[in-house]
Amino acid sequence: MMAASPYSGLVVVEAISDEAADALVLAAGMAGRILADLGAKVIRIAGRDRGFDPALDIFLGAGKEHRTGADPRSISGDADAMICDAGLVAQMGRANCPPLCAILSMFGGTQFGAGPKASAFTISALGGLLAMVGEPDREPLKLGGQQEAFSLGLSVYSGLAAALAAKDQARRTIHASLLEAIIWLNWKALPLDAHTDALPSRAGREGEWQILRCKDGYAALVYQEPEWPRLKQALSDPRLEAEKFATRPSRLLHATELAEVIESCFGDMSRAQIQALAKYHRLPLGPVWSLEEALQDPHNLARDLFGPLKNAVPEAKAPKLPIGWTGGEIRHQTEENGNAIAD
Amino acid sequence: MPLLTDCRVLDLGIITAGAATGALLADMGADVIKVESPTYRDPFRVLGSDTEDQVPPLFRATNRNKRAISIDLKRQDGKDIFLRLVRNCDVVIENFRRGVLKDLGIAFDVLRSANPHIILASISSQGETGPDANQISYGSTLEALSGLAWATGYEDGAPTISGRDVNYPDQIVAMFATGAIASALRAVRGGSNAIHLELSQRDLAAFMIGDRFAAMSTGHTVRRLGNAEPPYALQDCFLAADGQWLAVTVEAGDVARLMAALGPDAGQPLREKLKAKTAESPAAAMVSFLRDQGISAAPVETGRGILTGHGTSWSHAMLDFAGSTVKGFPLQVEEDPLSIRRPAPVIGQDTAQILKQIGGYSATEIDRFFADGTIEGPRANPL
Repeated sequence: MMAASPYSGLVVVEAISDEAADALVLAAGMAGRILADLGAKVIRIAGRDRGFDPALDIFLGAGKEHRTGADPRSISGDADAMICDAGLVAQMGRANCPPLCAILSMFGGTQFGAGPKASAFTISALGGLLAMVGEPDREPLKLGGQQEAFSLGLSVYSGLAAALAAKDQARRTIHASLLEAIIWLNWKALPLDAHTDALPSRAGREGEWQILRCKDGYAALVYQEPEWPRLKQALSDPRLEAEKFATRPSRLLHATELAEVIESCFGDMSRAQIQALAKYHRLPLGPVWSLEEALQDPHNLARDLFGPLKNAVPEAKAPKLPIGWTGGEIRHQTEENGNAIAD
Repeated sequence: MPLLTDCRVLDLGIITAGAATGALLADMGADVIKVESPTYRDPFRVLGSDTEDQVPPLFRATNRNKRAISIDLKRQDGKDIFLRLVRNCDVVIENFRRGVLKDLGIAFDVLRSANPHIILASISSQGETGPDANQISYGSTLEALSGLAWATGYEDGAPTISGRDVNYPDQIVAMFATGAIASALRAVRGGSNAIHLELSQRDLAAFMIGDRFAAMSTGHTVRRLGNAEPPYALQDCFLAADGQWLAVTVEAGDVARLMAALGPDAGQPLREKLKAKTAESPAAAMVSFLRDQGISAAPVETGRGILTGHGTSWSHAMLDFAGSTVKGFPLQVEEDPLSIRRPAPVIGQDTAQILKQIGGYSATEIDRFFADGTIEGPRANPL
């Protein structure tokens, strides 16, 4: 899937101080992991044992050079870039950090590098993301895995990549906070104009999109307005022709009833049958695959999505960096005439 | 100077995944030109709009900082114009249904012929290849297929998706695609030829639970945990007396101190004591109490409540610009701050200027293209 090494020769130090929140370690780990997969030499300075699931270390540590307890100051002098937290920069002094520095924080604004004690979970609460998932009559629900911290990792990667693409390669300091990243990706939860009355929150069983039971598991009911006629046609259930389901506003008012009708249709179908139905009728329905099933899914196998992890036991598998990169041959300038020759 | 100075982008991206990628590149200093057609608009020009806005809120939020052109790519003249612009651009972004770019006659090989150093970023739901590549899907479809929905949910409940109002894969791919494009730009500026980036949202959603796959493949049981998360002793939401939910994370080292602070030990587990104490306290007071004990705690904010931290705990994720609220930036650069420089454009707002400036067309040629409908000038929303 990925063969390019745009960061070949680049040295990146990944170091988060022991005082910083766990989420920053994971976010830095994700940003560093992507850069390592793209050819950078990433030196990960491990701090105190935080009790993470070992699978996190396996996944985020793949392809990196690990140094436990090393002094970042002894390494950063030879590095091109550094992924760190505000506390570490305060200790080292910005002048002693590499020219390109991504500083991570839980909070932005005037609380950048400061603020009350926080976790990825409580930051997700402040950013409104937590309120968007789950059942309305139950507690708000986090997304599975480490979505908040990993999203910050993607944000950090985008900033570092842009700085590394800059023509001037000047000294740059990127400030990336978890709360800014969460609000940025949860932007539709905020009022975009003064006369916005109803703002979204978790709808669960009352949601337009939701998970429904089927014969052998679960499937995601997902559709937009243009797909509604095809969904009705595909399911061929006369109850869907009822007046209360005729328009989107009316369907939203009767979302629970609609879900019950569609779930009863799904009850006779396996996930594979629902997927086949979705393909035939061009519907965005999605069977819910377990991780084991995803690993063996024909689409993922055809795309060679999963592979072994560097530095890990041979049986450890995870999705490869999801960047397909074709072309990009290197041009060599001949000394004689300056013509470009592609490899 | 801004990070992506001298980077010019032709942005065929629509809705969130494509358009937000172009927006972030623009925020970083790229000259991003939104490309629409007299016969095809970004659906965000109409979605979620029940007003007479020339530029409706969803479109405005994700397309500020861009210029706009309208060319009919189904006409040979329109395609020729597009390819002439490609010659003087660095990046093309698209997130159409697979096959559309080829049908339009502007697939990667054609773009590469026009510009041997072009970067084509194809942001798709399920990739260019594989048996599901042409299956129609939205973000939450991909949560189901990737395993993310299976890993999300109450401990005693069903798999769960983020839903229509978050559509999580659409959001994260914009950050990731921006990084990938910048990585390719570095490669091209370093001497590489044209690059085609294939960015699948389904693959990215799976990558974002890569640690769960690593755990499962090494023999560990992976199941839905609700809000619990190792290594924390307790992590969950608790309902306060005023009806607001609180999010609380308790580390193992804080349990004894918190138990003592919650009152005499009657044999109740921490969860029950915390639940009872929260139920009799207003949210703000309980957050204060927990923070005083050194515990991570926050109110679960919704809608306008998120705005209360603006300036203090966050500053640039959403911004007010020209009297409207628009999407801001997930990060900031100290030396060259990202900024909103121009509002989202109306359809074809800069068509003539771009044809002249970048395409090198004469006024006579431009007038002819306007007259025969190949291009379109500024016009109000929607169609």
